[in-house]
Amino acid sequence: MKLRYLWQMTSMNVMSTLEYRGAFFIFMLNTVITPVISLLVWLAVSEQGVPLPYNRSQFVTYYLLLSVLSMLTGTWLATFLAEDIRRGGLSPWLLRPAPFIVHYIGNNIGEKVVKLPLLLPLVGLAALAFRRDLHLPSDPRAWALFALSAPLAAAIAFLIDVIIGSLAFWLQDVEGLVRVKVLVGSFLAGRFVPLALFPPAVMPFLEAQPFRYTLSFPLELLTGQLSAQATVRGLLWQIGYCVGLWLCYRLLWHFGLKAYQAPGS
Amino acid sequence: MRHYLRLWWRSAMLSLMRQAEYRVSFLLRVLEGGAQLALALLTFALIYRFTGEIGGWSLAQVTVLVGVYRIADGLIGTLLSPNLWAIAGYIRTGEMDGYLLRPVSSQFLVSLRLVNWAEAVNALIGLALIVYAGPAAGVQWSPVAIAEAAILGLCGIVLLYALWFFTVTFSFWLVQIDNLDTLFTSFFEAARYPVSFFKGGVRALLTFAIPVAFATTFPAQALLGTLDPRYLVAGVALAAVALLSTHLFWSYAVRHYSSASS
Repeated sequence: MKLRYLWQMTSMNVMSTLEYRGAFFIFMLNTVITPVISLLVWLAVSEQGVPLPYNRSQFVTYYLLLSVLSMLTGTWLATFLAEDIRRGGLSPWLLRPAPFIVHYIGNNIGEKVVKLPLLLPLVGLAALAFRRDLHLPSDPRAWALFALSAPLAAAIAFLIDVIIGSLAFWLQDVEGLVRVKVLVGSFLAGRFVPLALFPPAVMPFLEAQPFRYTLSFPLELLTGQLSAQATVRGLLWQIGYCVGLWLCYRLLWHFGLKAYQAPGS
Repeated sequence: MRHYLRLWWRSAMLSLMRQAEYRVSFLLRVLEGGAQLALALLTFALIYRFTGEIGGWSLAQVTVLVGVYRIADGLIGTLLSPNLWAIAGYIRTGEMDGYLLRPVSSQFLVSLRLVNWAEAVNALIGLALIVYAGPAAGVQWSPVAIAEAAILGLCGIVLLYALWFFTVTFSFWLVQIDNLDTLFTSFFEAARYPVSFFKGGVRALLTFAIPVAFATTFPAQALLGTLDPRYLVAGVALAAVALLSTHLFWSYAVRHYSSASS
């Protein structure tokens, strides 16, 4: 039943996103440019001839796949959700047969359906530019694990945003929180510096914090740095965060809807 | 010229009065600026864990560059972004009529009228960082070096303005240029690093085509005493040509403006 709603919300969002394909093309260009800049910097470091935890082709794999994965796990709903709560856009949904969140899941998937075909040619061009160092992992097991881990990463990122947006039940303005999350979250997700290149002393912290599981962990599966044990541990962390954050969301909404006072007629 | 300065000062004060109402968002912006600085320094600390020098830059020297970046980012955010983000909207809604009617240059009005004072804090943070990191990086603080850095920084900001403004001017024909301008934010990311980190084509691109190097790398080099003086000449010449081109293009575009209002 709910799946049908999700399907409808998704296809509706695909259509409305297609209207803005020009804007989304630029978004996708940005999605590729930033990782490529980081990649060029790390290639310059490796040029110094110093031993690094990653070799050139691992850097290329990491950052090219990062551009795809960061799109696939991207979220943008916190601000919109907060706005809907604050201004009463939530009200009509309370009468509908599907939970409000389905609307946002549909929007998330719908936009990504349009973004993917815009993004892939650009990543292809980047891959062409770095073809000398491009050696994608050939182990099908690594890709299977990646395919398992990536949706979990998207779910964790999505739930973190839902929780931040839901704080609007009690807070006037969550925009500051959203910006802090983007700033600190991208850093801790390994967007600029791969987490494998952090000092060993901070590894236990990096492994425990949620942002690793929104981006870095699936990529680590493909750059082939993880032992079997670390892989299983990481997947368990991902599942744990999914369940924990989902419970947290349910709890927030349970109390939030009681605190909710909609303006308007 | 004095007339324009006075006009700018008036509108800057108006902006300040408006923003003084929102003290919390000002404070948040300051905190965010601090966090951005901390993360930039952390990123370089992580990169320089592996080597003492990249492309001829030591960690201390790159710290000076981080300071210059904060200043450039702060100045652009204070003076330019609030205006340039809004121009496409003026054209779409017909608000442009009001700017064309006034007895001063419309390019001046739409480019500099609004001032976002909270962003200026970033520039101050950057300045403090340069003063702090300067001695370790070998900054000499000679008046000539400071003047060179200031001129190059100004040229860099003018060049970025020209490129951005040029893009925005296309709104007269395209109405929706969508978020073409977000591309600038993306490319400006590259200004966080010295151009000498990059090679061949990319370096040339960042020096001349999307000239972020003039906004950060070259001013930092002027302070560090490692600047190739030819870039000073090139910067001034390029900035002058770029500014003149935006003026010509804007005047041409305004003639194609058909108002959206009644």
